[in-house]
Amino acid sequence: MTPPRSRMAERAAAAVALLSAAALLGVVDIFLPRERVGPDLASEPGFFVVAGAAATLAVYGLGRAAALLLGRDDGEGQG
Amino acid sequence: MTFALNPGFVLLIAAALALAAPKAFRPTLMILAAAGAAALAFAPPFGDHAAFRQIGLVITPLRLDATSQILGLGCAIAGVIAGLASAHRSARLEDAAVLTLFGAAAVAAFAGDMVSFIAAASLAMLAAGAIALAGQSPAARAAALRILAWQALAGMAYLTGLGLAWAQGASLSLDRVDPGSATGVAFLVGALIQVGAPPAHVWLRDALSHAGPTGAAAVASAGPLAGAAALIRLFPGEPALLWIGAAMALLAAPFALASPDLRRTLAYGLTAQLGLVVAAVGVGSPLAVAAAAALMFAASPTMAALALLATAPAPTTPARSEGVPLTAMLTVVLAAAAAAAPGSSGYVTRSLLMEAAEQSGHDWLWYALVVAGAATVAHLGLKLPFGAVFAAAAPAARPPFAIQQGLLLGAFVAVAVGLTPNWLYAMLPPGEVSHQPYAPERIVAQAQLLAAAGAVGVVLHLFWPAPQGAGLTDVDWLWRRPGRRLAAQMGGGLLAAYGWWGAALGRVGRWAGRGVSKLGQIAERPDPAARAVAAALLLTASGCVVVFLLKPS
Repeated sequence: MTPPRSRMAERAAAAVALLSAAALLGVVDIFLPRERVGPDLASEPGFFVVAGAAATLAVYGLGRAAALLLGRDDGEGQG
Repeated sequence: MTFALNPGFVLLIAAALALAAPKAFRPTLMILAAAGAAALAFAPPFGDHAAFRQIGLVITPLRLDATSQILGLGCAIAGVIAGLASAHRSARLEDAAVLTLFGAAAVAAFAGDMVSFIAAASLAMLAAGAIALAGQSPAARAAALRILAWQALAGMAYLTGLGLAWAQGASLSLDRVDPGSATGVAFLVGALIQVGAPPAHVWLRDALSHAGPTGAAAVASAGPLAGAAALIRLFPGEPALLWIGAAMALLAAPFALASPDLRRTLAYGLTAQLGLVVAAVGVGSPLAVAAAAALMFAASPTMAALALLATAPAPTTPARSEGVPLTAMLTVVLAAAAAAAPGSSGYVTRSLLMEAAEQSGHDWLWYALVVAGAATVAHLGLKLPFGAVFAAAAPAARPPFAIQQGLLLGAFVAVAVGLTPNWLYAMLPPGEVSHQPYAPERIVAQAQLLAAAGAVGVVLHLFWPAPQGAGLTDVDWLWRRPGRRLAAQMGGGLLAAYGWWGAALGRVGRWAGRGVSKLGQIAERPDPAARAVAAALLLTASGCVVVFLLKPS
C-alpha cells in the first residue's frame, strides 16, 4: 500500500532530518577524544552511523525475505 | 519484630477479591495491591524470611535481596500501569487473571526455594493462558491451549529438576546450580520456556495476539519474569545463554518488522528485548548480572505501556494524531525508551549491558548487540508507534483516558529512570554499580546509531512498505498444521489397530465359545463311553495335582 503524497513528503523530511543529524554527530565524533566504548573497530569515527544504517538495512531485508518465504495465512487471527 | 510477607501474596489475595469486587473498585484494588507489593519489597531487611519445614523440605517463601527487590519493583510498577488502564472496560475474570499473573510472577521472583518457585511459576503460566481467553474466539481458545501445553512442559522440566535434586540430597535453595547436571538442565529448559527462548517464544506471541490491553500489559511485563528470575539466580555465566540471548535479539527482529499486525510486532519486539536479558546472564560478570536485572526492571513498565498502545481498541470515529498531542508525546517517549535513546531507562540499562559485553571479551556479542540495538529502533522505536498512533486510521490514535493514564506512568518512569539512573545503579545486584552512561563518547555513539538506524528505517518504511494481510509463518506452524495432520493420521491408525484387535478378540471368543458349547453337548449326552472318558480325564488331572503337591521340594 503506497502512502499518500503528503505523508510521503512528511516521512521524506523526517528521514532527511535524521540523516542530517547522523552526519552531524559523525562529524562531532571526529573531534571527540578517542575514548573506548567497544572493540577496536568501534573506536573508528563514524562506526556507529555505518553500523546503524547497515544493520537496519540488513534486518529490513531479512524481514522482507521472511515475508516472501513465510508470508501466508497461518490460520491464527488476532483477538 | 519485622513483618515479612512475599509481596506477590498481596496481589494474589487481591486477585481473589477482584472476583467479588464491583467494577468501580477493581482498578483501585489493582493499583493498591501493586503499590502494597512494592512497599513490602522494602519492609524487611535482606535475607531469607518465614522459612518452615514441610515433609522434610525447607520452604523459603521470601528471599529478599537486590535481585528480587529490583525485579519485584519493576513488576509492581507494571501492575500499577495495568491497573490504571483496566478502568477502560469491565472484565472481572480478566482482572483476576491479570492480578494472578502479576502476583505469581512476583512470588516467583521473591521465592527462596525451588518448591515455592515452581508453584508460583506454574500459576503464572496458567494465568497467561486465562488472559489469552479474553479474545473470546476459537483462535483464542486454541492459543490458550497451546500456552497451557508450554506451561505443562515447563512445569514438567522444573519438577524433574526438583525431583532429581531431592533424590540426590542436594539443596533445594534457589541458588546457582551446575548447568551440566541433570537438575541444571531441567531447570534451564523450564526457565528458557518461560522467558520465551526459541521455539517457546510463540507462547508470548499467542498470549499477546489475543489478550485485551490490560492482559497484554500484564503478559508483556510479568509473563517472562519468573523465567528471567530463575536464569539470573541459577545460571549466571552459562555460555550457552550468550548464544541463545543473541539469537533471540537478532532473529526476532526481522519477524517484528515483517509481521503484518502490531500485536505480533510487539511480541517479537519483546522477545528481542528478553534476548538482551538472557545474553547478559550468559556473560555472568557482576556488571552483567546487574545489567540483566536492570534491563528486566526497565523493560517491565516500558513493555507494559507499549502493549497498551499495540492493543488499544480502535476509535469509533477516524482521528489524526494532531488532535491528541498527549498520546503522541507519550508514544514518542515510550518509543525512545524502547530504542534506548539517551535520557531514557532503555539507554541507562542497555549502556550497562554494552560495557559488560565489552569487558567480557566477547567482541562478537558486542557487535551483535549493536545490530540488535539498531533493529530495535526500527521495530519498537518506529514501526509499532507509527502503526499504533501516527498512521491513518491508527487504532490507538485516540485511546481511552484510562489507557492514556497507563501510558503517562510508563513514560514518566522511563524518563525518571533515564535522567537519574544512580538510584537504580545503587539498588542493583550483586552490589552498587559504578557506571557512567552519560560520558560524551557514549552519548554520541548511541545518538549516531539511533539517527542512522532511524533515517534508514524511515526511508525503507517510505519506499519499501511491509506487505499487508498475510500472516508470517513461525515455528509453531509445524505443530499447528503438519503436526496436527500427522497426529490425526496417527490417531486414525491407532483407531484402525484397535478395531482390528477387537475383531480378532471377538473371533477368538467365538471359537472358544463354540468349543465350550461342544464340550457341554458331550457332557449332557447320556453316553457311557463319553462319561468314562470324562471320568478318566478328571482322575488324571486330580492325580497330577496330588503328585505335584506331594512331591519332595
